[in-house]
Amino acid sequence: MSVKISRALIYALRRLAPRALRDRWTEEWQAEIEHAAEATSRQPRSALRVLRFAAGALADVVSLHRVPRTAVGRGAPLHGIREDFRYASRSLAAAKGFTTTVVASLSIGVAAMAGAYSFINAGMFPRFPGVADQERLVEIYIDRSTFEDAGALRNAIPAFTDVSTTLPLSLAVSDREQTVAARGALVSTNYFDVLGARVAAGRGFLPSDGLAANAAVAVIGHQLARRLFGTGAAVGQSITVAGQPVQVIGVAEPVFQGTNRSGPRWAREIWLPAAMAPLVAVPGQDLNERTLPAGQFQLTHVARVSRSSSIDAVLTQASAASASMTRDRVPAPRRVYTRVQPSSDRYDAEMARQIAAVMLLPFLVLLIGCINAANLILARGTARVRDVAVRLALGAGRWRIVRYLLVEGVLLALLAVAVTVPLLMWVLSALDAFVPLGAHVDVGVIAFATAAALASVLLFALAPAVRVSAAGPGAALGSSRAGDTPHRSRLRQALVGVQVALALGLLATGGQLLPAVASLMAVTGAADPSRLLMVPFDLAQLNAAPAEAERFYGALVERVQRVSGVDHVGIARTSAIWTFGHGKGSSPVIVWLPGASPKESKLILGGYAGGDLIQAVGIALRQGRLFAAADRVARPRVAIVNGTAAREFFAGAALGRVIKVGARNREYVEAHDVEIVGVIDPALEPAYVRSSDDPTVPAIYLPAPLEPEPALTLYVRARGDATSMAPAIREAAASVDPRVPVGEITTLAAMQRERFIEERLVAQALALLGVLGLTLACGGLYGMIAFLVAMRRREIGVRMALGAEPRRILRLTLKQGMTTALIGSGIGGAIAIAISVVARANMYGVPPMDLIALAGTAAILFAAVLVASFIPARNASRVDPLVVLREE
Amino acid sequence: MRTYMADPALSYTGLFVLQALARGYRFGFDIMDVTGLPSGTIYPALRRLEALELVRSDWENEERAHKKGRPRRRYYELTAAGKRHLAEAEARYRAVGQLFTGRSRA
Repeated sequence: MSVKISRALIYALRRLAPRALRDRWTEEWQAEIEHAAEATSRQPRSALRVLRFAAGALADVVSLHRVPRTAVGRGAPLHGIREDFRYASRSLAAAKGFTTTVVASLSIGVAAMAGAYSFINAGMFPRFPGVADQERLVEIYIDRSTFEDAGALRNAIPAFTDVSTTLPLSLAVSDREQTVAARGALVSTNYFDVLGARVAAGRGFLPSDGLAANAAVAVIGHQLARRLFGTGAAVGQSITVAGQPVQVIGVAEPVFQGTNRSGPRWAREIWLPAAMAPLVAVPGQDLNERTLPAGQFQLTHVARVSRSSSIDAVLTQASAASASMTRDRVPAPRRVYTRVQPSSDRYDAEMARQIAAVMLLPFLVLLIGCINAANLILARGTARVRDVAVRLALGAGRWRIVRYLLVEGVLLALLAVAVTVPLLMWVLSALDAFVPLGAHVDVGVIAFATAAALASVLLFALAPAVRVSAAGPGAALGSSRAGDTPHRSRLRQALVGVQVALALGLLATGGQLLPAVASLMAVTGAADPSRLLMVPFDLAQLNAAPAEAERFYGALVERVQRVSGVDHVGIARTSAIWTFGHGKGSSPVIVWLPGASPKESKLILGGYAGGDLIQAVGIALRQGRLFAAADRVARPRVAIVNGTAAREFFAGAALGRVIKVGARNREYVEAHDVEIVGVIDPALEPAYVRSSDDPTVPAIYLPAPLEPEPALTLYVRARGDATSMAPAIREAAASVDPRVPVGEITTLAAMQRERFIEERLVAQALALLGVLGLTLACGGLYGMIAFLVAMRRREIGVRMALGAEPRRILRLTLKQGMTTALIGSGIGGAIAIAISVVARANMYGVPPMDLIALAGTAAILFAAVLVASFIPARNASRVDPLVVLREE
Repeated sequence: MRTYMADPALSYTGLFVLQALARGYRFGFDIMDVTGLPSGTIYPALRRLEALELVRSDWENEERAHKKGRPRRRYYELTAAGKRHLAEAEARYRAVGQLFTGRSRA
């Protein structure tokens, strides 16, 4: 009885409780009364006790109005966010399919962005690892400079705290057992101090090492130390550098690679004091006369600028000082060349524009991934309108709903980063094994990935969040299906359109850039480049005299000729035929055409062509003859030119013409007359494709060198498999002179691949991005349209119940999908064309927009849209209308 | 933010309720029973403590309640902050208690 009265009391009081809490309040009191009745059943006056207990409900219901208003931190925007995170992680864990799809979509986009970023970070913004405060360093290049100029510069410019100098050299380094070729540099003794570079073991150079008597010391790189001494101590060991005994006094920090050019491929491995120059550099030759690719300076002065001075002011002062210092060093007709620049900036606006052009594509992939994610979030939100409405009804503010959805977004973004980073690390380290570009995941890349993921999720989760929370409490609780009317799906339809547009833009752009990159790897003009071996030697590494070098190369050609499987052997400078991007200045001959004045010299690619160079390279003779034994005299009297030179200089009739030739930096009076006795086919230099339509340049070859040539490359034409001949050639070289280091033996085909490996990677990355984008877009489109159609199931059911034929239903849904796709592809086509205009303005060799490729891409996307609209529509039109109408 | 959380002034009632919860009484009726306070005092105190996050409530497993043929129960327990507050209050009252014993001896 008392229980019944108590229950009635609760029911009566129920109406006084706040609406949102009413049900729970009632439930609690019902349970408590049952509990009280049970607990007091054995006690005296139990009925009275239960009633007295129930009477407390009145005070409670009053307090409900007072307490919850002051409670649970209303107004504090972040109050309870921890619960939001807990709830979000639980609900994401429950919706595994949704979470996986969103994270996958986001990860692909973020990985594309972060991967591109890490490459740019590694390759394009060069920094010198292990060098302190690089932005306070200034590099000064001066024509015909000497180590002494450093002191003059320091005196001339008070803002320089110190100036060091470096001269890159390739050196033969040997311990007792092996000889290796190492990239090194002669440096002033303050080099490590000016750079602030640390020495990991032993010591750096002291001023006393600058004296010739003490100079036989070296600091070696970590890698070289490992190569020569394994894990043993390197400091104190004796090595031979270019034939000179040298003691290792220090090992540089592992990251330090010198400052001559950034990137692991150009890492320096050994540093010697400048006082070693006469012993390790070619005797009797001016340091600046050494053959190095044109445009690269030999001596670089690196100055540190004091903290109190502005770099810009110092750059101006240094330019003026270096120009005045060198004014009378160069004979009158030649230009004094000086260049001053901060160490930290090596790439100009041109590069920045190209980076922006390249970054556009991963950015589009990210956008597509984001739209997928946004759409899924939106779809999930729509499905949860009731959930949201209940929360609103319970008194949650709109901000709380938006905040909760954003928290979900943040969790998804963090998950995506957690997936992306290890994946990217693995991919980049796998890539690094093939191409040491030095791209790796560091804090910057992780920060970038996180920022990209968070920004995209916040941007793309915000719209769905605002949209979902806009549904009032009544909307969902009142009607059982919010969001199935056509106007509500407009946002999603817009997303479909944007996605079509982006995918089209991405694919069309990728498709357009690919051929540009592919053309870089074009033909070489040589017969079968995989059968041509190139073996570089550099007797300067051994500090050999010119006569000694000449003897070595003569014997080498003769010896290798006898190796079985060898068809032809020739010898020439490494870039005499193909410059591999270094330009004609890397192997120049100075030419005066008939009737030219002393000032009208031309710099033409070519030089000494020893042995059967032309046959070995596999270039056909077009007119005249090749060199004969009688032509091989010290001052060459004949020459062979290629077809391009014949056409450009002699209108095709080159045979028998006489021209003057000279070595670089030689005067007209020293030039020889040579008669053109042969015309050969031009070799194709892919790098020239960038700047002109003709991939050939004029070239001239001579039967004898015009100047001492310590560094030459052996060109070996093999009858069969060229790569298997490497050991035999190595052996042959060792039998001629075991001290000479044999450079890396590669085929021309491999060199081409190596030379354009970055471009190829870019091409492959573009193709990969295109495929990723298309897959993402097709998957996203399918999901989105299928969802849109599924939302209309009820409407379709109604239409069918009213007598619509299945065919009309199909047409209806297909029309909707196709209209959106059409609008999207119109926009996408415009984007693609706009991108192509920008790309053509900023990158060489980009062909005009390929409209057929554009149409093909559009067709693929249309097919995806078609399939995506067709399947759910067919399903919807097949089911019994009654079943659909009865569905909750 | 939430400065009122820093030192909520606990009434004796609040303290008794906290203490009862600490001892393992988890339902309104049980707390009333053990403290001897009327339910009209206990419930508003529980609401207030919950709002101050010294106490949190949860619902009994629905299935279990269903099996026993009664509505599911709401039970209360201390939060970490509640435990801390209780410990502080206990220390304070013990000190006050010593004050009183000292005086009665004198």
